[in-house]
Order: sequence, then C-alpha cells, then structure tokens
Amino acid sequence: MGKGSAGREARRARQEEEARVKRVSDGTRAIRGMFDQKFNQSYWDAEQAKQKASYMDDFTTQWETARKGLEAALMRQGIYDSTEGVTRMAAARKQYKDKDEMLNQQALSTIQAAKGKTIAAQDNVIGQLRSSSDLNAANAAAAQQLAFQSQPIPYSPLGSVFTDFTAGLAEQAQQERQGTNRYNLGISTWANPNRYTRNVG
Amino acid sequence: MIQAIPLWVYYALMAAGTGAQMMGERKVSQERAKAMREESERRAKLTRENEGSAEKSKQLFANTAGDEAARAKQLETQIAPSAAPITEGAGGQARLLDPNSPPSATSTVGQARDIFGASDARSAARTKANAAAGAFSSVFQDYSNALGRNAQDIDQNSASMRNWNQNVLPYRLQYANESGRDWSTTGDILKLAGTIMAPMALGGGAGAQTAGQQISAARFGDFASKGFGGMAGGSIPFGSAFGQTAAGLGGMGAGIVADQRLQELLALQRLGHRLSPDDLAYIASQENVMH
Repeated sequence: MGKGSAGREARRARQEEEARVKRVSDGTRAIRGMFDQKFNQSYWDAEQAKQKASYMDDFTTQWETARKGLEAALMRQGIYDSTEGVTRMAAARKQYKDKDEMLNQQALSTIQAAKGKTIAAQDNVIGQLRSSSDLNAANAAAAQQLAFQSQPIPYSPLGSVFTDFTAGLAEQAQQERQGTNRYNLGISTWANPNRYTRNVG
Repeated sequence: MIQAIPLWVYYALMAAGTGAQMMGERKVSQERAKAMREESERRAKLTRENEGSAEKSKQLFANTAGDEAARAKQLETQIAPSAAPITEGAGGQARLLDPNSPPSATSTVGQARDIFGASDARSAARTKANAAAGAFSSVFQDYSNALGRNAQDIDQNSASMRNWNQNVLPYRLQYANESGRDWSTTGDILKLAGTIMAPMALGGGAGAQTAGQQISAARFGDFASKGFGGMAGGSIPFGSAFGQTAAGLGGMGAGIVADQRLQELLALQRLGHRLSPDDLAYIASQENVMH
C-alpha cells in the first residue's frame, strides 16, 4: 500500500466510522424523541383513565344490583332503618371502595406493563439501529412499533365483584321465607319475651 | 583519466542520506503520535461521556427513599377509590349511602357518620398501604428505564471506541508508517550514491574499475620507466622511442598512484585512524614535494 492509498484508506475508515457514529447517535436521539413524545406521562395517565373507564359500566351495573339486593334484604329483615342496616351499608360502601381501588390498581398495573413493553420495543429498535446503522430502517421500525404499542389494550371483563356481600342474600331470603332465619331484636315484653324481625316473602 | 571525487562530497552524501532517514523516522513518529493522540483524545472524550452517564445512574439512587415516598403519594392519588354513588329514593330522599342523611331516627346522624367514617378510614389506610407497597417497584421501574438508557449510551461509546481501534486506527498507523517513506527513500538513494562513490572518494575499494585502471597504468609506467618493457609490454624494444614515451606515461601513472596513496592516508587520518610511522613519513615527504 503506497503512502497516498494509505492516506486515502485512513480517511475513508475515519469518515465511515464518524458517519456511523453520527447515524447511530442521531437515530438513537430521534427514536427516543419519538417514543418520549408519544408515550409521555399524560399519555399513560389518559390510558390509565381509559382502562378504568372501560370497567366502569360493568362495575356500576354490578354495584347497583348488589346494592338493591342488600337494601331488599335489609327491608325484608325489617332492619333497613336501623344501626345494623347502616353498618351493613357501610360495609357495602367499603366493599365498593376496595373494589374501585382494585380496578385502579388493575388499570395502573396494565399501564405499567404496557409501559415496560414500550420501553422494550424502543430498546429493540435502538438495538437494530446499532447493528445496522441504517437510520431509515430504524425510523420505519420505530414508526411500526409506535403504532403497534399504541393499539388499545384488550378489555378483559370483570368477574363478579360484589359476591362478598351478595352471595348470602339469596340464601338468607330463602331461609327467611321458611321462617328459619330471623333476627332476635333483643326487645322483651311480658307478652312476648322474644321479638324477631319480620320475615318477608 | 578519472579524477578522484573529493571526500567532502562523499561525506555530504552520507550525511544527507542519514539526515533524510532521520526526517523519515521523525515524520513516522509524528504521524504515529498524531494518530495515537487523536485516539487518546477520542477515548478521553468518550470516557468523560461514559462517566457522565455513570454519574447520572448513580444520581438516580441518591434519593431513593425520597423518590419512593413521593411515588407513594402519587400512587395513592392514582389508586384512591371513589365513594359509592349516593342513590336517591323516589321522593328525593338520600338512601343509606349518605352518611349525613340516615333514613330514620333509629340510626342517628352521628352513628351513621361514625360507622361510615370508620369504614372510610379503613379504606384510606388500605389505599395508603397499597400505594406504599407499589411505590418501590414503580420507582425502580423508572430507574430501570433510565439505567437502560445510560447503559445504552455507555455501550454505544464503547462500541465506538472498539470500532475506532479495530477499523480506523490500523489505517491511521499504516498511513503513519508510510508517511516517512519519501524521506526514507531519499536517504537510501543518497546513501547508495555515497556508497558507489566511496571507492573514488576514499580510494581503492572492491572492484572499483577506475581504480583498477589507475593501478594498471601505474604498473605499466613503473615497469616502462625501469626498462622492464618485456614484463608489461614485451614487444617494445628497450631504449626505443616508444619505450621512452611509455616510460614518460609510466611516470605519470606513478604520480597518480602516489597522489592516490596520499589521499587515502589523509582520508584515514581525518577519519581518526592511527597511521603507521611509514605512512606519516610518506605524507610528510609528499607535502615536502608539494611545497
């Protein structure tokens, strides 16, 4: 190799490496920019809200059904207007809150998983860019991943949420019909030493 | 007849040749140093960037407890449940779910508020506990993402250094090695020229044709001047006019040989060789002749 050709080769090698580094750096910056712009905190907050909202119809319906069942049961037992009734409704109300929180956590968890997948996709695209140094291919892959990761998260229906306090209501009603389950009101008179709740049905 | 080359020419050529080779070596050293300096600067720059990334990673964990507490508060807000909706009866009466409006006198407002309040407090405590429990993993997910980016940056710089050393530096060093070639070749040529001239400048020397010719002429003249024509040129009749002419030529040859010996001795003397007393006497005798 002559001096001239050695110089040319050295220049070529240097230019190629510098160009490669520039392509990778620019590409990495661009890919991160695209992902950061699309998948920012407000995007995830909105996605989380959508996730929660997607459950709310089912959740509200189940709550209404359960509430009505409980109120009916309390009325049948004659304790609707009582401290016991309030206590039971307070328990139901707590149940509502617990389940609502569960949904929030479920939505948050879904979003965090989606966030992790998005980060992994971004890493993957950047990894491809590093291997190939092909900015156009990396941009195309990034766009594809942006679209793919933006797809709606599949909805998985809720199971029965309020079974904890509604499961026994139907059985309770049946027992009340048969007069086998009554609440002693704890009020005694000479004529009637034990007063029970009315059995409705 | 070929004149002897002055000794200073020989010296000048050899010195110029050595100088050119030194320039070549200097040029190679300079280019190599340049290539290595460039590599070193690049390495230092990339190392600084890597250290910056590593520092950013370190800073991530500088306030883990604070980050976790802040995230717990954030999560608490995010997962905080809403209250069950208050339903109203047909007459607009709020149902049991409104703690401020219990449906009957058997349950006082205070009782209902206490019961609902206790229930709400338990819910809030549960939410807080859940948020605190989730804060660590949530914060570390963010740390992990940031660490991943820093690691990517460090890896990219490492790859850049590796690629430079594998793909660019060898060419740069090759170029550096070639860069002194012009000077080196010039030095070789000058030294070759000096080597060729050496016999003429220093006298004698292996196979120097001109020196051989001089010696032949000297012998011929010597013999002729002594009348030994039969040895060098047997056909020349003793005492003939041609023989006399030849004797004259022989004397000239002897003169050349004498000059050449003087030059040789002088050159050796200048180079620092110790001369024998005979040689010194010869030089003195020749100087006397010249003066």
